[in-house]
Amino acid sequence: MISILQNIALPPTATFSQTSSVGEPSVGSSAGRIFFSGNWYASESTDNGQTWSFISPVNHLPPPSSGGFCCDQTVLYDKSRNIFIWVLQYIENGTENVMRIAIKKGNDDNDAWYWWDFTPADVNSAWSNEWFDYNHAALSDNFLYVGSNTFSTVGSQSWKRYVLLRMPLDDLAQNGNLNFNFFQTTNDFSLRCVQGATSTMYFASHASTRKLRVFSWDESSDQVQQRDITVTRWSDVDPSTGGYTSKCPDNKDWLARCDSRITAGWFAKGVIGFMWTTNRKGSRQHPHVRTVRINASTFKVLSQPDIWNVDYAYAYPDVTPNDNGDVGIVLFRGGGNKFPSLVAGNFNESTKRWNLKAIIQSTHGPADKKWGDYITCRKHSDGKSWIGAGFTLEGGNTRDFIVPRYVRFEMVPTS
Amino acid sequence: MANESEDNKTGKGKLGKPKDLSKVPRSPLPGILDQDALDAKQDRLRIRRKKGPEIEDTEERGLFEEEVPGEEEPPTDCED
Repeated sequence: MISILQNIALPPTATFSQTSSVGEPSVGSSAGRIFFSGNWYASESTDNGQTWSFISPVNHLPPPSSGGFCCDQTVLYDKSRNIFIWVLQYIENGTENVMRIAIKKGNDDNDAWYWWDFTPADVNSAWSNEWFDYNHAALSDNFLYVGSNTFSTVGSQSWKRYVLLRMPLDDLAQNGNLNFNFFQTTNDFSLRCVQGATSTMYFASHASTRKLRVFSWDESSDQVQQRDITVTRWSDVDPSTGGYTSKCPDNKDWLARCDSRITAGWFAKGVIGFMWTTNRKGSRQHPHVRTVRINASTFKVLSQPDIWNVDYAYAYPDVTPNDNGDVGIVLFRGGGNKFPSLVAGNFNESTKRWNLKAIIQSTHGPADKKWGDYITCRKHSDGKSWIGAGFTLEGGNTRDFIVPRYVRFEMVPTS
Repeated sequence: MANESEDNKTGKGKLGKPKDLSKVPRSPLPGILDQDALDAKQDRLRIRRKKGPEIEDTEERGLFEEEVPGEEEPPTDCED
């Protein structure tokens, strides 16, 4: 069963009340220090979540000259080099934008952030007039991976490519020159890396509603391998409305903005897993979470333990394994008789199913019909428990009532 | 700067030393956002994000040769 060790609502002073129903919270923790980000704030606690200090993503780090802060923050803590990693996306200025990778030591009390700025043209000079959007980050033994879509800055601003940067953690920790490799594809949208990678990074996107395209990138290689893996067909389309929908008890739709991009991946115990939100299909009358577990040696599908319910929707999963290789998860559920609720859990290796526990339910659905676009699960620095960054809507239905939440949970053997 | 190999879709590059807070002027004021503007921008971003490649629905194309496990997973329990 799941034991909730902490469930902390970040106060308005932690966010300067700059919250959004597109919450996008992310988190990393080093011992008692927690760094938490979201739209449109960052906040730090040095006493294990008892108190929080607002950190403005707008100007705590001086913005690049090309444009101010936008959104899409991602936080990681790398225990092996004892560094916090903070990724920020800046506004597109008509010709480019910046994705910033900022670093500070895990035990730093002196606010000693340092950072590198990437534009698409910094990665490849041929990619002028493109801008980054929707990043995520993951670690292997020796590298940080930061991926992002790019879009054209001209015309209809069409999607151009997905770029995955690979940077040595030693370079990042040493505050010197930063070498990087990159992988780019103009065929595959919104790739997602696994959490828990060791000597090989795995990442994936949808080749179709029947095929998962899985990439592998060995730490010692410049080359990326790819395989298409057949999965049970899923649906990206609601047969009635086309898009995603899930009405709360107050008739507010919390999934109108949702889509099927992969939001979660893990590698542990020789298994690669990926998860995404899929639309209703057949007997599953609400959007739900598809899961695919793959043998990392044979690349055969092991099982597909989806997360679904006959009465309400599940959406926006994120996962990460702890040091034992046990996989923790955070996600939302809502719709039907439930307002959007934060849920945590783990994958049960015995039953091959998910143990889930509802943490807290919102009091309202979002008036602006917006939620997401991602939440975050990380392992705690104790190596055993997991931490999650989520949010709820409490006391009203506008963005002013969004409450970011830091949770910590662990798996407890049933007696 | 980077070099790209189009055939294998990989490349490499290098950035110089990072900037840090000791070398740049800092504002003493908290960063205030125009939340309405950012909200509107998020909506525009989402529309653009959906302009990635369409996900092909393969059911009608009969590509069902390979059976995979998990077709009939039961509903997921969630402790309240």
